[in-house]
Amino acid sequence: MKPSGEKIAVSLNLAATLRDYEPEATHGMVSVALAQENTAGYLLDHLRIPWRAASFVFVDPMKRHLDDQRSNGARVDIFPQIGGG
Amino acid sequence: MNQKIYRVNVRDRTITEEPIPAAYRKLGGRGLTSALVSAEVPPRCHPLSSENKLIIAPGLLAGSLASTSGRLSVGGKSPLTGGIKESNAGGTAGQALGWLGIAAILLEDLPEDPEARYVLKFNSEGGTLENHPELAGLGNYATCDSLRAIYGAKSTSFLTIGPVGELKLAAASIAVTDREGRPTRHAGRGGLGAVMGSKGVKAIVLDTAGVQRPKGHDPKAMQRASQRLAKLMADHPVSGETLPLYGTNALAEVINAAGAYPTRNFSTGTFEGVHKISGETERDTILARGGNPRHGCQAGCTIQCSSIYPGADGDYISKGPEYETVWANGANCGIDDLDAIAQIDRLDDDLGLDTIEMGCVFAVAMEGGLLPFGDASGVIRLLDEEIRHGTPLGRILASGTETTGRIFGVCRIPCVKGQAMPAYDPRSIKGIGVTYATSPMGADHTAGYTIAQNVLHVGGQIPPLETEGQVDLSRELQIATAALDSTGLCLFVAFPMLDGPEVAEALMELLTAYRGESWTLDDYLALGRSTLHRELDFNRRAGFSPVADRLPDFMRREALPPHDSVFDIPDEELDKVHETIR
Ligand code: SF4
Repeated sequence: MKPSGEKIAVSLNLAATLRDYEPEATHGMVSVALAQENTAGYLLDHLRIPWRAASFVFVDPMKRHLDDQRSNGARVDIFPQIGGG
Repeated sequence: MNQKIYRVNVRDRTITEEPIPAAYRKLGGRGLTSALVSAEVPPRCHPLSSENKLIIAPGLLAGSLASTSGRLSVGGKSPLTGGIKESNAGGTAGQALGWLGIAAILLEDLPEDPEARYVLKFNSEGGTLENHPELAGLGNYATCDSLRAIYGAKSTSFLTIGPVGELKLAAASIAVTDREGRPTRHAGRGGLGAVMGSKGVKAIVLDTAGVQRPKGHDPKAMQRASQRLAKLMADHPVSGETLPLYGTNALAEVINAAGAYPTRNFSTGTFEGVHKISGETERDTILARGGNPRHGCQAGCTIQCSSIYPGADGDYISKGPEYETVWANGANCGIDDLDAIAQIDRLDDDLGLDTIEMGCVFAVAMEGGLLPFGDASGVIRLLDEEIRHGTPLGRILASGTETTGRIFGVCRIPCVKGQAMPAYDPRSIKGIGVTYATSPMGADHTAGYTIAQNVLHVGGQIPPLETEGQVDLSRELQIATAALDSTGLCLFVAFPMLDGPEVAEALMELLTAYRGESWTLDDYLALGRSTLHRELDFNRRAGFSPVADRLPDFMRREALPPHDSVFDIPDEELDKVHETIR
């Protein structure tokens, strides 16, 4: 996706282990305003989260690859490698 | 080495010791319980009749140094599903059986006196059976206190049933004590607590005083292999980081974000209150109250996925509720109060109930109008008053989700073979739907945990909403899990195992060094296949046909938000899952 030049906003929910990158986003949603490139990868770079730390990126709430397109107002959830049962 | 089998006839009150038959030497855990059930229980018998047996078997590695190797399998014909059942639990009893050299305990026949409450005790000298009628009606916590007063607290491990097991109701579990002697680990699924209750056995006491840990066939090789396995588990991000840090409930946010977190009786796939009940919030709450966020349910566990959950006053409420428990009694009931969920967990543990089944019972009862969604105090009251006292309503609820749905006129009943579904909606994660439908155990996520590949990207990736590839995935996982459930290791070993060959290699080294017979990956997978074959064959002889291998109809018709997806894997495809195993 080419830079659009327009600002967009997403609601961001970060896993607790990534809380250092955006502390407000770990207990519920916060809005992050972005300019330029509307991809999940750009969002990670914007937050300075290393891509390898973000094993799961869910957008509205379909799982996408990091280079998938996002849209204005999307909800984005980012998690590290997780398991449980 | 665990080579003895004890047969306990509760009618004539005899205990017979036998060597394990040669054909069963390479069996343990689920492999052994399913082989014995298949050979000795008439498939069409009533699960609460004299013909059914309750079989308790630790895994092949029980008693060893290996991390998480003390899981215990319990088998029999299930009062909930009417099919074969293996239900496993952590806690201290599996290792104790390994130390005592016991491969299996079989409870047989029915007691002469229905009021008897037997305590079956094993120590280094063998077994005894004593009647303790004063234990009748006690919850698991009070039962364990009484047992400690009678048998001592040191070196003892208990398996107990609560009042629900004594009432022989189909959601009854069997509790296993943790390292603190609390009855917090349960063989929950399938109502085997009711089978134990039908045998008149209230408790099994395992006393390892004066007993040495078995060294195994080759202690040096054993130590090397167990250290290697522990390191591989520690190096994996799931078993080495997220499980130790957040426990199994780390999954809540992820499965919710994936739109597969069943909410209000499987009516949508996201829960607005998930942040309040997530693993992160659970950990923060425990830390703020001075609880223990990292706890092992058995000695030697290096993962330690468990925790201790205190109330606001700092006093113990329960072990940290696990992902399944939090979901079943949280999102699925519209409840977003972690303290209430911990109280429900405590009550389920005390009464001897399967937390998954009961969460689904209450959600179905809420849909049927018994109480509103979100009514946590209503659930607590029903547990503590109706179920604890065995009122007619309490008995209905503790008979499981399908019975409750029938009584309250609900047609959306999330069960397969009568057993309630766990915490992943199969319309959003289709691989797990294949496992729910086709496992001989009924709806059981652990039987073939496709969440690993469908969502967590462990062991490959198969998109959760696609139909392609799910049947083969579920089959392979069901075979591998039947083998792993025979070792006594925790299923979490599967995360690093799926990501590389080293864990399987270390496991074969471990089995060979401990057991003294050679183990290859082929042997191991053959064990999985033969176990599954026996289970499917038992169910066929019990009268199950392929029609039993289906999800409830509403999941094919009713689209689940947010993906608006239905379960659309064709019946013919489901029938192919076990084509080569039957
Ligand atoms: S990983 Fe968890 S369930 Fe398994 S043995 Fe350790 S504490 Fe118990």
